[in-house]
Amino acid sequence: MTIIIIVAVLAAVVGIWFFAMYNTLVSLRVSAEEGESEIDVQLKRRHDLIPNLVESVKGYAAHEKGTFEEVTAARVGAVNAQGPAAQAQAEGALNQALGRLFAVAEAYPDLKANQNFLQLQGELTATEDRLSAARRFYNTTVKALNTKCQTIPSKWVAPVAKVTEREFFDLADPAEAAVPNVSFS
Amino acid sequence: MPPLDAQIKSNRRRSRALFGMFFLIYGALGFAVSLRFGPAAFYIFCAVAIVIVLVTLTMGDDLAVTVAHAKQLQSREECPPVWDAVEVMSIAAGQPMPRVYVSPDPAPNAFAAGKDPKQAVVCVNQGLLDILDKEELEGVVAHEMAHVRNLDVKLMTYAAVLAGGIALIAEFISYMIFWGGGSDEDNDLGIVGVVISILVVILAPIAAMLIQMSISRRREFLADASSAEFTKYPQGLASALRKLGASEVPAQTGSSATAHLCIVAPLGGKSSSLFSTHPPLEERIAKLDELAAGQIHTSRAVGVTSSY
Repeated sequence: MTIIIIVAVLAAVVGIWFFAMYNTLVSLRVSAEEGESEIDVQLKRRHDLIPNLVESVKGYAAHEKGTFEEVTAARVGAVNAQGPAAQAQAEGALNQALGRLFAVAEAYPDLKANQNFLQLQGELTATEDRLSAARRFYNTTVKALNTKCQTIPSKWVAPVAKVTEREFFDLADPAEAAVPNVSFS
Repeated sequence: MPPLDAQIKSNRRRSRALFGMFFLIYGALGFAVSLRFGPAAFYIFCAVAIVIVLVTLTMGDDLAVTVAHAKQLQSREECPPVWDAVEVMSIAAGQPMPRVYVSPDPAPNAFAAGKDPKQAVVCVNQGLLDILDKEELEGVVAHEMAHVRNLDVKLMTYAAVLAGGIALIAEFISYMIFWGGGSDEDNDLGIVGVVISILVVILAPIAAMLIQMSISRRREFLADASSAEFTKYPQGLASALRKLGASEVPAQTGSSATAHLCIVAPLGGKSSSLFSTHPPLEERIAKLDELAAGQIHTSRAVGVTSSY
């Protein structure tokens, strides 16, 4: 009789643990999805600002065609990128192109004083702050998710919960992260 | 394990242990009761304790913050630095954006309130805005958002209820002892039992208060570590705390209800003790410096125009 009770208690404990682990994994996956979607929101904001930015620089430096084409192409690449790793790569390329655009703008004092340009630059900075934050949240969540998917015993529950590891949103090449700091303030 | 994860885990573990100690005290009180007044009294005592806790918890302690003279920001334009800091930190914390207030109080301080993230409030004092730069403000706001995410308001309410319950019950028992309740036939231990019960009854409320304050300090460390988790830049908050430590401006407003949610203790002086709601500033700064040293790189900005 006592054997039955012991087995029943053990089964209950394992069952409760299993449910808790299942729910934790699902919560992490949902949080990661939410994080990915927040990154997309900020990326879209960023991409939408760029055409106006290019136009305002064109108004003063129309001949710098190479730079404009580079930015536009990088933007297209970034818009079409799928998945966090590819997106991060494409954003790195876009950073470099934008860096060159701002370097061009350096030479034109009238442009630097232009209200429209300054406002666009301000919005771009604000968007980048939010993008950084979204990226931090996403990566922290993915780290927790991937850890649970790899460690015992939660790694046994993951397939049942249909939860799999995810990619980080990280710039693959650390050199790309060190974009030249071009600010006019 | 990286220092940030280690700090966060350790803080959570220790605050759980502290809560456990509350129940040890309830046990000790029950033991004292049964020594003096017999086992039946112990069961009555347990029932009373449970009722106290349940009633207070379900009363829905809505920490309605009287944000004296504070102005709620309705849009970004009203105060961009604060709005931006709160919005960015909400994204970093994965929380809905709380209501934002700015108070004209010249003392540099900030606090967060609200039972859960959906009803949260963050308030920043003008004094704080005057002396902090962008990274420091973000660190402070991240600390407040951490209190919201970690459900510290709810937790501290539970702690206050548990401590209050202990104080009430101890008082109740002391009346019973004073008026000589209980029959001597049930009381095997005689004078020893009386002495033990009296000691427990005197010490229990003090112990409860110490535990409550310990929990508060532990949650402050956790909020600091969580702030570093959100910003990935502990130097920001460390620098802000240094400036706050050096500031001499006293608080104009600050109730004890929200004291434990402020960034620095608004009431009482610089000295910290076992009865402080906040740990000493030097210790907080030291732990943040530890986190900063342990970071491989500060991956702050993704883009072009943000300055490092």
